[in-house]
Amino acid sequence: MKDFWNKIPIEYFFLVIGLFFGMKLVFINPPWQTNDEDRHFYNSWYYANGYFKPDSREEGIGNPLPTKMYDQVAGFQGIRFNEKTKISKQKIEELKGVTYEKTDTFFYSNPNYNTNPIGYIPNIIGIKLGEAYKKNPIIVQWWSRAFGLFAYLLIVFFAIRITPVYKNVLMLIALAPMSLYQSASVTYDTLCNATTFLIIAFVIKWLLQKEKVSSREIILFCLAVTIQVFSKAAYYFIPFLFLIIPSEKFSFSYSKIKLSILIVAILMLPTFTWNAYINSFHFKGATPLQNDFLFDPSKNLAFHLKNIPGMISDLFSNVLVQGKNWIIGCIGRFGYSYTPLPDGWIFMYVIALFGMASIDHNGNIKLTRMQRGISALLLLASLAAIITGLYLTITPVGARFIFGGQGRYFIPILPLLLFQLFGTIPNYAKKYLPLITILISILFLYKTVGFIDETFYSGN
Amino acid sequence: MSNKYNKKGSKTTTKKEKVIAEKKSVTKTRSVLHFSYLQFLPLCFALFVFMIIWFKPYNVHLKDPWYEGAVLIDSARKLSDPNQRNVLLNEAGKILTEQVHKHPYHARVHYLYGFYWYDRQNWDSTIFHQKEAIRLGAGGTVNQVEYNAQEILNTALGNKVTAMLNSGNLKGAADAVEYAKTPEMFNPGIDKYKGIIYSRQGYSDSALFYFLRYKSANPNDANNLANIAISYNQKNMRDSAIVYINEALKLDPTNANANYLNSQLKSQ
Repeated sequence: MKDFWNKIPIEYFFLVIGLFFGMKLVFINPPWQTNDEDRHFYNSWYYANGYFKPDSREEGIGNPLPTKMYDQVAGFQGIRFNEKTKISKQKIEELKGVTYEKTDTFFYSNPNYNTNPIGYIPNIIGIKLGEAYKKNPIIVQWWSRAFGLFAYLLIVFFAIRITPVYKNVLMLIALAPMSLYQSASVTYDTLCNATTFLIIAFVIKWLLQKEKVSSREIILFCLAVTIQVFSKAAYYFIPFLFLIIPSEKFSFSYSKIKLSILIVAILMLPTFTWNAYINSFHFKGATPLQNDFLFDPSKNLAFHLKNIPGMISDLFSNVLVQGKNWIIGCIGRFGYSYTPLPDGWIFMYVIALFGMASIDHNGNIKLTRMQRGISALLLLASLAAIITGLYLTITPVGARFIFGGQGRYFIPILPLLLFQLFGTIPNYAKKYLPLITILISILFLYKTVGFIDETFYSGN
Repeated sequence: MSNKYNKKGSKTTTKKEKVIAEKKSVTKTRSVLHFSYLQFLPLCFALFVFMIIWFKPYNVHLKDPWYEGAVLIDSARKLSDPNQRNVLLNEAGKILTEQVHKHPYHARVHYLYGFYWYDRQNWDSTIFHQKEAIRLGAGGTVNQVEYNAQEILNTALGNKVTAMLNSGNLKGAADAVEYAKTPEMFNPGIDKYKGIIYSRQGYSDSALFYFLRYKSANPNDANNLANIAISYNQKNMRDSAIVYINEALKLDPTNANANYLNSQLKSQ
């Protein structure tokens, strides 16, 4: 029994802990409370029911949706979750009795009609199976959430398994309260986050292995990049971390140039496939998600280019003013009400991540300055792309304050950020790292489940 | 025996030697993993940046200018001193005028500017900018601006039309109501004012049509119920008028129009 945590590979602990707490989150997180989960659920339902082509009507662009399903989803929106307004578990039990008919529908004008189905694949499977069990919106949503969770755990399990070092860091990131909360929700973030972790794991594996990178691994790497970019086209720089791998490890000439071209082509795939398909309909008159401000990236860029120092100053000011909220949102902030875990818990988790990232290595490899430079550059580019992207795309034209930037957008960048500390501090207590990781994960997820239960439900 | 002891003694010596050897090897390994303060620099730097962001030991001012204007309006509303209030409103007006010219495409900015003019009791400007807010901003799924804009538009319209009706300017009032229409949204408030104008002009059928349509959207508006009663009374439909008077008085026993008509009908 002594050192049992070292006898069983840590990825199995990841699987057990992730499955246990993830399934708890599937059920304890109130229906459609994860940010934008209602809209992701509608999209997943559409694809599960064969609605791949949006319809343009006078009411907008969308497709039919079962009325009873919409009513139930809408009934869970806009809850403020203070002392007076919470969800009753009894009400959920009652609502579980309602079944929807696919013949009793109305035309739902879908503001997200152009989102592709790839990121929803696990959720779509869950919906199909859930509907076969019972056509109840809450139950179908639980099935959908559960399948998202299974896909996430499976991909991250594989990521932790293949990487020779950095396993504890990956586990801590993947089991961070927010990461697991997202993965136990209906959203394309699940696949995006999981595949990003897999991409980083591949690079670390290639970096440390003595043999050459196999074609099979390159194919799997490209597949992960493909799924990631279709799930959420925002993290373009992360796959280029492969540039830190010495060229000799590839069995073909001009390996880095060829692989870079291949990745660029993959990153452009959504534009030339799904987006082209949607654009071919020349839709007009879609229901805008938000219309009180004008959101137009090109106009916004033109506006800010008139005052470049002002734009740079705004970007830095946003990091200083909103940075803490982004960190909190990256570790644990739940629901449409944006209820965060207590500050102390978030603070401790960040410290744990930094500490673990510094010591989770086997000392076999020392990164060169060039390798560190490339990874730092990719990190900066990723952060700049996310922050500037938010500033130009989802912030009103001419606004200074970045609008709608949420910490969860930074989860895929977290492994790259922590990679900057890779191999910096010698480690004498390697054998205790898995135990520490397991204990931290259990402690924080136990707290998270209790916190969500207390925050969202009345005492029943 | 002595041999045994000797043997045991020799065994003990071997064990001791092994322990020393192991200790030596451990010491040797540790000496390879020597610490240097330089190795902690990356972690310290990361923690430093994190602490700066977390504890915010700075005072960075970052607010969108239109919200700066809104904050000033809000502060002005809380002041009782009219001079101080004026100063803040002037400042808000300056900011919002500039913002509306800079960003004529933002519905929210028009809404805030209309709000400013509302506090200035300039009903024409209020109506104009709330109409713009509705024209540009109606139809969104989240952060809708049009309903609040319509509420302020209707209040401003009410203030403007009431003053005109009181001065007998029925045509001016009718024009104002016509101008305040917003094709993007159904506005039952307009029906109410149309009804009042028709009623004053003596077109009781048209007035009744608009009052009843307004009632379907706002069944608990005692003033409107009293207006319906007045229209029925104009059409000599006394029983219907009494029904609506009673409904109005049930909702608002102090309603002046309902009480006046009630006493008139009782005296007949």
